[in-house]
Amino acid sequence: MDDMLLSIRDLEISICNAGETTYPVNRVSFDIPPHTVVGLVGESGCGKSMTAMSVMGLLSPNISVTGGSILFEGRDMTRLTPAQMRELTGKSISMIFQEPMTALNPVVRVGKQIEEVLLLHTDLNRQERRQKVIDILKAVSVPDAEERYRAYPFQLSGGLRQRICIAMAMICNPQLLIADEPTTALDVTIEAQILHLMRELKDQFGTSILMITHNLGIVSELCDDVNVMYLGEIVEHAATDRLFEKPLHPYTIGLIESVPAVEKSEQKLKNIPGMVPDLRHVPSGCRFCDRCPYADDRCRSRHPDLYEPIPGHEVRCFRYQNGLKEGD
Amino acid sequence: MYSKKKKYVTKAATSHGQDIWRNFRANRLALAAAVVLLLIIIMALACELFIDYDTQVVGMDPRARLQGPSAEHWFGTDSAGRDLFARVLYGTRYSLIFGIGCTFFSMLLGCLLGATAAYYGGVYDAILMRVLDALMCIPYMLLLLMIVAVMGRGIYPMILAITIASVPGYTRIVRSVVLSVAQQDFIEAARSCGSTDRYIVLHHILPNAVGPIIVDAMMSIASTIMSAAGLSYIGMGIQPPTPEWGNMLSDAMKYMRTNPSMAIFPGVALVITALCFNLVGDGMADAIDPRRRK
Repeated sequence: MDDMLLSIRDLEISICNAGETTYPVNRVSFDIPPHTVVGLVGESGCGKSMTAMSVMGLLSPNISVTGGSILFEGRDMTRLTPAQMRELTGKSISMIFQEPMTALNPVVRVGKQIEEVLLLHTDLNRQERRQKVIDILKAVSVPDAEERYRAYPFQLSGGLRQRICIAMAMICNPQLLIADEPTTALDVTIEAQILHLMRELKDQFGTSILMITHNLGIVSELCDDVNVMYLGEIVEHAATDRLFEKPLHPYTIGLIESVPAVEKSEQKLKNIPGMVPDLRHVPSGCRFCDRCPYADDRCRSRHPDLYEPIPGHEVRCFRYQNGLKEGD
Repeated sequence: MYSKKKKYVTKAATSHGQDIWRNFRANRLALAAAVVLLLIIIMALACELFIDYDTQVVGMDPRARLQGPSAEHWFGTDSAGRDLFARVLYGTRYSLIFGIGCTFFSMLLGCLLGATAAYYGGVYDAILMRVLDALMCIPYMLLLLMIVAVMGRGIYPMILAITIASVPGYTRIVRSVVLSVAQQDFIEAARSCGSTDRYIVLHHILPNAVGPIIVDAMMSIASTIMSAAGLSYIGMGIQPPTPEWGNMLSDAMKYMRTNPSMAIFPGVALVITALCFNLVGDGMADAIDPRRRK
């Protein structure tokens, strides 16, 4: 585990709201090795963004990490002081957000905003900073970088703004980039460009990426490794190829089946019946049992652990408790 | 506008400031008010050049008392035979000093208190806001009178009084603006870059809050001018023979029937100045807030 860049162990996050405590993230563990892209997939409200926020130390005051550890290069980030945290974020770990429209300050020129990161983390002088910003703008394929340096965010399109955000995140060559649904707000053509760019940057700078998304297309295109989350838990973890080839957990199967396929011309899209339960009324057994076609009494009464029917492929389902069944 | 060649640029490259100016210019009324205001300010600054304070503004001439407007005395004269035009013109200085000065100081203090209260929150916020609430419970004019009664009369106690009395209102406005800006995504993004609190407040929150705050300051200059005049009117502010519109109006009370020009000119000057500040403030609000644009 020492060779992992980021290692999250039994992470538990709780929200205190009007005297009521809920646990949006429950004993989540996963690793990010150096130079890899790890996906974190799940429906809205399953705790993926919350997990990312906790790594960045950006949780709201009423939300806190109540258990587990987040080890970045062996240091537990949950125990760092705010000053140590500021030292790390932006430089070694950085983040890009879902909404490029609102993630940039509307009254500051974009060049200056990118420069801010250098101002905080380096001793470069004004000219060097400016040059570095223009270099990174070129690296993220912003046309007319010198001119764009002086632009305000509202003068740029969504795709360009996301490129600016990526430039801002990449300028200190971080070891880890957390991308929280970076293309959800963009249209498909721009999405493809941004994904292409992220893959390029990963190869060029050797940055690991934690890709948070609900889009399985992005996962299959970009990620080496996938963690599927459901209601605050990891329900399946495998290498991307393996997961798409042979998904095990009924939830993952449902997710993959509900992706519209171009070659199949079925009339109706498949979906997973039911809705994600309220965090205050979590099922006592398997958290997915209410929506699972295979659920039996054991699923409703007992909570399954993560089993590893095949080395490297973990799944939280009783069906694989004793390895793979015949036909699976 | 959206052609394939210029795919990335959707709007001509203008700065935020230019954009606001273009929108402000489109509002004819506000523009006219701004021009009038500029003239008033220039006159207030330049009146020394063609009016002698000692002889024309405070020097009495009993033979020429209570005259109506004439070629010699454009606005007529007052009960001590002083030229009203010169006095109204000099009075502009006091009104502008109070209006702009007090607003500036109370805004500065309000920004400091409001921004820190919003950003740090907690006990500090609670205590500060309750103290200011208590201050706000006292009617504005009574509070002014109270402070002036303690501090004594004159221009500095008045500035202090008006500043103190206005701070609670500004603090509340700044606090609410800062709270709404602080919730936006780019603040979170800035924090994810490792920015310090101080840097975030100074470089990200205040520049975004400055628009609404300036608009509010513009609007309140008018009411500050009015309250300064009010204080002088009841004899608690600037004392005669110093020309201040409020005490000139108070003087004119006795001669309302026989010599109305004594009340009309300072009164009109007061109304025009206050109105101009209001119109400009309104125009700025429209120009800065895209949702208010027509």
